[in-house]
Amino acid sequence: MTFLSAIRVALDALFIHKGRSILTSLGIVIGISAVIAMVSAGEGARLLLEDRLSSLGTNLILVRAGTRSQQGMVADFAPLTGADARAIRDRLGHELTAVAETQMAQRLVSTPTAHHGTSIVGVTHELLLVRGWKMQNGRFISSADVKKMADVCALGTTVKARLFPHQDNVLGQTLRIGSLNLRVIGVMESKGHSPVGADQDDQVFMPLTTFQRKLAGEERLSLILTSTRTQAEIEKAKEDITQLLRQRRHLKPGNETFDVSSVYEIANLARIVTTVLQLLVGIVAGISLVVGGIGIMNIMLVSVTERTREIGIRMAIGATPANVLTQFLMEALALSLAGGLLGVALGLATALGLARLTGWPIVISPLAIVLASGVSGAVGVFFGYYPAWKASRLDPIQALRHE
Amino acid sequence: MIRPIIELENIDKIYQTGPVQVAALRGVSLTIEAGEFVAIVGASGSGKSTLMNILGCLDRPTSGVYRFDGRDVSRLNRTELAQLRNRKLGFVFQGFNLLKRHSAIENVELALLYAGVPAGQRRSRALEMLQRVGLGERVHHLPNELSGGQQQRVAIARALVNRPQVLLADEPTGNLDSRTGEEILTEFQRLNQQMKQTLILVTHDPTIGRWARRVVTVRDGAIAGDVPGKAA
Repeated sequence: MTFLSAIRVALDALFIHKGRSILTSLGIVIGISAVIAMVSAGEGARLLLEDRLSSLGTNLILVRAGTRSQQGMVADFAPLTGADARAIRDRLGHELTAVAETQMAQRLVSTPTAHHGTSIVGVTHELLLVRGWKMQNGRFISSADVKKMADVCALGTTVKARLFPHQDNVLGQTLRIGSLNLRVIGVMESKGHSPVGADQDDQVFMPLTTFQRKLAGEERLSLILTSTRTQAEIEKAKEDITQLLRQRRHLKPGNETFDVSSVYEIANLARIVTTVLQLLVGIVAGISLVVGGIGIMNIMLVSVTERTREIGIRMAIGATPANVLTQFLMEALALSLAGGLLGVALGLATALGLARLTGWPIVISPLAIVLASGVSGAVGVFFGYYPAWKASRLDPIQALRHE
Repeated sequence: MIRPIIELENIDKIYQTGPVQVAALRGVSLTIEAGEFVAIVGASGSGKSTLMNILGCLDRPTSGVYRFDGRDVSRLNRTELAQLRNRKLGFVFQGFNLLKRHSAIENVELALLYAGVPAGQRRSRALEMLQRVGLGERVHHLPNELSGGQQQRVAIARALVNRPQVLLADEPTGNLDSRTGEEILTEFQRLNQQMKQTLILVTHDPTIGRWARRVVTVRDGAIAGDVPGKAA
């Protein structure tokens, strides 16, 4: 009997017991659909993360005051100072593209017709170099602006859209922060969201000196940003900066009151996390597939018992043990494959639905689909083997007497 | 001289149930030539069913030799026996033993399927055989849509579709009323006389046995008689 006939015989038998076939394959359907949905969503999330990370610039190094556990909080002791930044620039400038100190605050920015709460960032001209950021319009803060404490600012595209909707050219316009009036000298190109979800276009840049003197009233750096020219130089640069600051503060290794981290290691961490998550997904899927497989085995055993007489008849008219084994194995395979394909379809539908809901990109991996189908087929064959083998070992005479 | 199609030499069949040995057949020797119509008659428990199972290659003798068409059957493995049952033997059972969820033509095609016949030929040969047994109009009916006699005809068509050398019938009229039963027995006679089909019919009823051309009586696991039937 040919392979195709075997499939036909198996499909016929499954069709006859439609309801039971559907219920049996449910385990596999659910397992596979969960895997496909999670893999697609996971891949999409990873893609999104990579994209946002690259918008930051992967060679970026961030120097912050406060120890790791206190990230995000303003350090009350040993804040970073301009002197620190200068020291880094003087001693390590040759390893770095540039050193950009920043100080920031959340403030309300207003025009006569609109207002918007946003991040105000005091910067030097080096920020543009360090971040590799380009201007859409006009120019950025210059060293002259910093020297003069000029009352100027450069806008991110989100701020521009909020404060000056429907205007193409906003250069020369004025906006007000508190009692300070700033003239717009440039608009940044759009950068999108950072890896943690913050809108990088929702910022207003102004000269650091102006910020410190006229807005904040103190010198307390939030962040010193720097970068290396190549990825290979990142680790050394981090080490050197850490050593320098340790020396300046007379600290022993391990007692740092500051943190030097690179975007690169955040990216790596993110990749590790997603890999671990995907592994967990794989384990869960594996478990549900085993459960689904056991379900198939159970049903096939019941089926064999129920159809003992039928098997006896088939053997009497000439089915060999191999014929019987193949028939029941094909039935198990058809069950599991059908479940797998249904699971793939369901999983893709779920993934697409999720994408619509969260706005995240969805990655449909053909490899995952092929793998899922293959695995579900293998599950069917593996768990279906024992019942099929039992069926093939039946004695025709006993089987004919059955029931 | 033409070789007999069936040769049984000193066949024993002994069942071991725990410490007890039961001899269903003892020292049975039998020769059947091609073209014969033999009835094997015996009461319940006489060993006739065991004999039929052995003749039909559904069971193996404990000792003795069974040569089918010159070939020693005891050497064959389960797969080879199945192939022999498919191509050289045809079975008709008391309870018809049709697959209940398949139509008449599908039941007949199944025998061809196991013989490796391709799909197109299967359909035409099954159709032809059903027409020959008078069921050309009902090929797509399921067994529960057919009368007992019609179901038995389907079984006969299935048994003959691979052109077997021997047709084995185990109480073929047992589930049929006497008139339908006679129709079936007449059909058997026609098959034997016109188509030269070798037929072995097993029954407990001697009157049925006499429809054959030769009656072999079985009692207590041994052959007790071997005489011509009324059809001879």
